[in-house]
This record gives sequence, C-alpha cells and structure tokens, in this order.
Amino acid sequence: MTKKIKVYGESIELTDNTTVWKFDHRPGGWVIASCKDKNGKTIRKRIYYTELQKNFWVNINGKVSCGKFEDTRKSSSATQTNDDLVAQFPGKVRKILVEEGDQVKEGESLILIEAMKMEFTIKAPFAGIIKEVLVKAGQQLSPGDVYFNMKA
Amino acid sequence: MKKQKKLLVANRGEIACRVFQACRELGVETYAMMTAEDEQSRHVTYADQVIEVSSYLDIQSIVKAAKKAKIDMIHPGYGFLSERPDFVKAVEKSGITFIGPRAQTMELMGKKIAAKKLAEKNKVPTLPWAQISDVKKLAIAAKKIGYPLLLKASSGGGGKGMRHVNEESELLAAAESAAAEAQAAFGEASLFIEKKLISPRHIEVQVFGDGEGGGVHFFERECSLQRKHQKVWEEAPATNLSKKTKDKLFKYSLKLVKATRYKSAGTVEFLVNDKEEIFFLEMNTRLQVEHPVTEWITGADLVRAQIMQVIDSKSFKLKKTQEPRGHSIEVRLYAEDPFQGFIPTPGKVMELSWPTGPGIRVDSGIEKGQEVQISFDPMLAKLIVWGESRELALARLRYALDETVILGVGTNQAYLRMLCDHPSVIDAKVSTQFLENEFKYEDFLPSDNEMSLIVSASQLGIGKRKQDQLGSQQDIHSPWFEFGGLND
Repeated sequence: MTKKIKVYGESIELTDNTTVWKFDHRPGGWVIASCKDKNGKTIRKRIYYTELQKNFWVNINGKVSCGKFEDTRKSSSATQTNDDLVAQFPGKVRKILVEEGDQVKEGESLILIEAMKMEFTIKAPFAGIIKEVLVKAGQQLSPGDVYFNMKA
Repeated sequence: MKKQKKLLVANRGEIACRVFQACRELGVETYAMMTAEDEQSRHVTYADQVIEVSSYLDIQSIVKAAKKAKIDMIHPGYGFLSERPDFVKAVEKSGITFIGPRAQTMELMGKKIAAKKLAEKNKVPTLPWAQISDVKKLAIAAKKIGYPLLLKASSGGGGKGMRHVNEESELLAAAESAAAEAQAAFGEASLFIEKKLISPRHIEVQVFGDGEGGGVHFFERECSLQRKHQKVWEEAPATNLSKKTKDKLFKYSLKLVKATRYKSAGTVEFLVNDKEEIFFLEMNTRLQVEHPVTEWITGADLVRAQIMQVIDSKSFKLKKTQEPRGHSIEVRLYAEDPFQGFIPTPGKVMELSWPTGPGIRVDSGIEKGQEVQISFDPMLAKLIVWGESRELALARLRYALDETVILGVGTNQAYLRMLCDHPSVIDAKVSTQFLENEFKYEDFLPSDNEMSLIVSASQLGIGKRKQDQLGSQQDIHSPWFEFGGLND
C-alpha cells in the first residue's frame, strides 16, 4: 500500500521507502536524524518533530512544515459530503450574509466569523444554492462544525 | 527604607513580561492581571502577584482590583485599554499613577480627526480626509476625496476596523463591517475616510515627551511590511531614505510633542511616497509593539524610562539622542496559517525552543504546553535581531528563524523566513502594498528524502516521546533508533 501525506493541503505520495533513518534524541529537544546517501555519505539533519492525532509539525534544519497523515484505507470522497461548508478554525459567528434558498456565486461572501479579534469572511467555494443554514449569529464554532449545506 | 512600589500591567502576554523585566530591574513589585480563561498565559507565571479581573477591557473591575491591591502605578502596554482616556481618568481618579500620556492627549490623538486638525494647525502635512457623520452622505464625501480610499476607525489602530474601498459599490458594506470590527475591538464604532496612496512606505518616529512641551526623538522605524494593516516586520533605521527626509520627520514629530505637551513614550506615524513626500497618519499614544528595534539601535530602554519618569519626575531627565548604531529588525510570529488564507490557528504549543546568541532578542508571550486561545490577539512572540549592518541583521534573522521551534500551533514562521530571501526585502525596496500585492508565498513542501524522514519519525514515535518518559519505555531506552524501510 502506498503511503500518503497531506502537507499544507497537498496530498503527497511517499516514493522514497528505502532510506534508513537513525534518530538521536539530543538533550534539549532537538533530534539528529541521519541517513546515508547513494554514495554512502552521511546526511545529518537537525529536526524537531511532534505529532497529535494524525497531525504532525516538523522543523527540519529550520524549514517548518505541518501536515496530516492520510488514512489510505478509507476513500476520501466517501467520508465527506462535498456540499457541507465546514469551519476550518474556531470562532464566533458575527453575521450570516445569506438565507436558505439563496443562489450564490462562487467567491460570494457567506458568513463573517470573528476570531482572535479579527473578522474573517467565508466565501462560497462554488456557485450554488444554500440548502440549509446550520449556524446562528453569535454562535461559537469549533473546527468541523458545518456552516451551510450547499448544492451546486 | 522606602516602601517598594507596586506596578500593575493592565495587559497580558509578551508585553506584560517585557514591562515586568523593567520593574524587576528597578526593584518594583510586579502585578499581573488575569481573566479566568487566560489562566495559562505566560505573564501570569512571571508576576510577583496576580489580580483576577472579569475582562481585560473592564475598566471598573480593573481599577477596583488595583485599588484593593494598593497598586502605585499602572502600565497599560499596547492594545486593550492603552489608548482609552476614560481608563486613564479612572486610574488617576483612584489615586493610582498611569504610565503614559495624559488622558487629554490621548483623547485628542485618539480622535484621529482632531489629530489631523492639530497636525494641519502645526503645519504637519496630512492626507486628504473626511469625517463620516452621516452614512447617507458617505458616498458624496468619498467621491470628493476620490477612490481608492481607506475607511478607518476614529479610535484604535492595529488595522482593526479598517477597510480598503476601491470603488463606490464596495463602500456601504465595508463601512458596516469596519464599524462592527471597531466596536468589537475598541468599544467605539465611528469612522472616517482618507485618501489612499498607491504604494507608500510606512515610516514612524519614536518620541518621548517630558509633559511640558519638551521631548526627544529616538529616530525612525520602517514598518512597510504589513498585511491587512497588521505590521509583520519592522526595522530601524529606515533604509533608502534621505537624511533630509528623516530630519523633516523628526521635526514634524517634535512639533506634535510640543503641541500636545506629550508625556512618556509615543509614536508619530507617517506615510512617505516615492518622491519622499511626507503625510502625517496618526500619533500612537502608547508604547508600541515594535519598540525593541528602536531600543536596540539607540541603547535606550523605553519601558524603564517610562517607569522612571513617573517614579521620580523631578530628577528624571530625558537623554539627548545619539546617533543610531547598527540595524535592527523585528518580526512578529502570529498563530495563523499563511497557506490557508491566514486563518487563525489556535492550539497547544507542544514544542517550543527559542534561538539565542549574539544580536538576538525574543519577546515571547508563550510557553511550552500552553493553549493559544482564540479569544486573544494572534501574536505569539516577537523575534528581534541586531547587526552592525542591515546585511548582518538580515543574516541573523534567517539564523534566528531557522532556530525557532514552535510546534503544535500553526505559525507564519515559514512565511517570515521566505520573506528574508525576497530580493525586494534584501534591497529594502518595499511599500505597504508589498505583502498583499507583490509577495507570493509558497509553502515549504518536503523533498522525497525529507518525507521519508517524517514518516520514519512518525512510525518510531519520535514526536510522542516526552522527556519525562525517558527510559521508561523499553524500545526507546537507547538513544539510537534504527528503522528499516517503510513497508506497511
């Protein structure tokens, strides 16, 4: 089975599955990861790595990235109904700009969310009809909560 | 022996910690305030005493608690109540000394309109502007000034309650949402409009007034790198700006210090266009987030000076400015995801490691294990560097960013690091439009080799290992792990 990792929303297939990495936990938290390249030369990288559930964060020689390990056993399209607009971050609903039955254009502003003392506008990812409004003004949202059900 | 003075910082996070350092150096007892939801915040750990308040914006609750604790002085930091004249009045009425300018100065400068009038009166150039008293007349006023224009909150700053308006069709919606944001951030919804320059630079002057009309400046800062009017990167001194222009900026700034009989630390903000024409923007009547770059090139300790000024106003003397030395850059680490449209990324700081070494200063508001809350400003910390030349400062910034480890919450660290390598940043040729219109951010996607490293690290549980578990699990007893292949 091929291994997939989602890094910054981009799904990447793992092609290198032969490199043997050694990890040396250094006092203080850095980890030295080392492997041999084709010519037998040691490649040494200083990393910090942490994981929570399927999410990871890594600093490799100063380069930072984060991502998610995808479960390849499930097909990704079956787990999510594409028409649900899902909150990506926690916040408070400041204003809902559309009503049920509204026809919206792609990129049209649908809802204003307040988070970290800033206001964020959530826009329609595609043109369609708002089938259902599932949030109320003033409501606190957690990531994964559904704002609207939309039909293209 | 004199009784030890008590100072309350009416703020949280990094700026509270910054003020506490100055207090401890001066032998002043430190008081933090804390709301129930902010119990984990770093400043709570560093204070001698902690006062619980219902909200960081609740003047009555804060003053009452401060009075009960027999506080001598209150430092407001930046944001929150720092530029609210009613707070200054309430503090002073209760017999506590407020560290900062007089309420009346704040009132004047906080009303951006009155400030513009004052600038005009003192022959300090301003941008064309108009007050919005009636929404119905908004379109007419806007037409007169011309598009593009900016809608701004009459009180406050930091980009909150501010909107760009390119044409008339956008005007009403922008006004409504700006007013709501201003209301939420500053407790006041009134707005004005102002002509928008196409690609200006943001240059500001640090001043310090004696309260009698006298004052000094501590040179300029360049803060052109902004996103949605939120500063991201600040430098001192400004590069590619003539001495003649700088001298004008200092002259204008000191005129305003004199006109307001300004007391304590403040900042006069200007826009400068490509012809080096200067326009007064506003005066910030508080200590600013980016004060460290000024401290570094001048050797001044602005917070210490603020406190000393109120402890012993008679013997406190403002030091004359010397020539700045070297170059300093500050970057702001925010809990936001640059890749996903800068959405907020609260969460738990699982790993944290700061750089150290020559020319590096970290003003941090976070600790390892802390939950970064959604209800507060997204700034996590400031990374500040200094070098004899700008080139060295920039090299140090690259080093410092590479050495910075904040894992568990998304940050703009990679974004800042990428900025360090952009030719326009290297050449110091940026405007306030640069980040939004010119800079293309791309995430660092790991190479195949690095990808295999990540998967190996995951399968060996590198990220799950905790210091306190060292030796307790058999398979991680040895400092060396070997891992052969990734076949599932």
